[in-house]
Amino acid sequence: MPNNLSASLRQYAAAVRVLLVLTVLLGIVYPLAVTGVGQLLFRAQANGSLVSSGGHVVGSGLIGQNFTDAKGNPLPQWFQPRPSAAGASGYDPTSSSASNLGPSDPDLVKAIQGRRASAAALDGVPRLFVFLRITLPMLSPYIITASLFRLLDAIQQFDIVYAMTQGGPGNTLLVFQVRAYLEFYQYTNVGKSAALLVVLWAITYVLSNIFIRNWLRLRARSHGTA
Amino acid sequence: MDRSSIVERVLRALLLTVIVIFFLFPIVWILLMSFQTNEQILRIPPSLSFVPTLDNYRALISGHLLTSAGSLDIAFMRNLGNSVLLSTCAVVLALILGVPAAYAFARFKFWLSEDIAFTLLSFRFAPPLLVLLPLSLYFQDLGLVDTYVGLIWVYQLIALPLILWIVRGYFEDISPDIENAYRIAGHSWLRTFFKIAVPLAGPGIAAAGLLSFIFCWNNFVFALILASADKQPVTVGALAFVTASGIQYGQVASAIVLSVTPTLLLALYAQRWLVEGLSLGAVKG
Repeated sequence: MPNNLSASLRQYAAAVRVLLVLTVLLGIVYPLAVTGVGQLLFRAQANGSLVSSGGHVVGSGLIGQNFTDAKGNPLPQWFQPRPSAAGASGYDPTSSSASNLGPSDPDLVKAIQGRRASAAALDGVPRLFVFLRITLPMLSPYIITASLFRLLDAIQQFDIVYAMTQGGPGNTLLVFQVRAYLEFYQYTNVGKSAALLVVLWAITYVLSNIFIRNWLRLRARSHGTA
Repeated sequence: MDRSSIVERVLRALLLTVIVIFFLFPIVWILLMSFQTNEQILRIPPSLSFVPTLDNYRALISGHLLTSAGSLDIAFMRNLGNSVLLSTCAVVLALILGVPAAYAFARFKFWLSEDIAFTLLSFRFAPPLLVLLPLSLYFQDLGLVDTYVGLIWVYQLIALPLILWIVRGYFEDISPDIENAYRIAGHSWLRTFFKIAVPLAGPGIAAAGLLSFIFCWNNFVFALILASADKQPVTVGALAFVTASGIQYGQVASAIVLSVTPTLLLALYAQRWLVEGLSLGAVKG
């Protein structure tokens, strides 16, 4: 029994000694040594790669930040870092995560598209170039959709032509539907009228198919599924 | 940050002015024409200085048109009433039929659902006469030619696809979780539809209804073929001003002003919803 007690006490004493030695070594000596080496050999890096301007520390070379004026407008004399989603207003070094938005997320896509034009403008790209290379390509699906929609209406024009000229003078304005209407009611040529309308229907069917396919693509994109 | 130069700003202002004049000119011109006599309108060169007259409006309201060749009875106010009746009834019917259908297309995937929705939409793109000419023959057999019921029925070709596709987009934007939460409490899907889905899609339904009303109001060809003078709306009724003694431009202009006013006021009142409804219709479907 006494032998067992003394063995246990020795073990406890050894553990306490290791604790004390490691505490001093790892808690005091090692940090002081690393700090000392850092301050002696890598002073700038060890202090956070600080960036000074006019005698004032304005930021860190390792942490992104906004270079904006008081109103939040980007300052063109500074290089603008890439956008940040860390923290509530971005560039928060204490926030370890960015957004969880996937590449097809509609919010992210919209945000990126919204920034492209302003980023190009900030880099001094001429407005016309921004319009031709960024705005116009982004709008093209909508322009195509709207144009097809109006094209369909134009091909099927009836009201204005009939009310204003009834297809005249002569037969210069005998568009599809006016001609079909006159064939049906004025000349009682029902078969010819039907044939004209079937041809018109074939044209509108093809156009409307293109239109609807484009429309569904836009719709899927806006719902983030394409 | 506005970095545009003065030249750019002046050019932009000039361009905008030209565009505004381009779009407002016909409206202002028609308004001015409505206060002039036919002689004042047709004088060469045209002049902006004239003594305004209310004769055109008086003739429209009294229904008694005086032309150089004699007098003519017109039923413009009746046409205006027909437009209100036809457009309102057509939109109400389309809403009753279209909103539940739009909900079904948005929430339930059933056999041929997309094909049926596409077919309904295709009516919007088909040439109206393609449907109207054969329909006019059948309507004669059914006794529906020159009746309000027949016209309201045919107006569904305009109103129903529009309401269906716009409202469907709104329903798809509402999270089904909200409805599921209500249904878990033991409510039927019908109750969920009326208590949750319809109130949430309210602005969209209003926008679709307004758009349909404007499209119905502006329609010309349906009433031209299927209605006689006493059932015709203003769009067709305006043809009465093309008389044997020439076109009565003053009356045409005042008729246009009177017929455009309701839809213009409606569009101005509901501008925000209309734009939202149009963009949803175009993109989100």
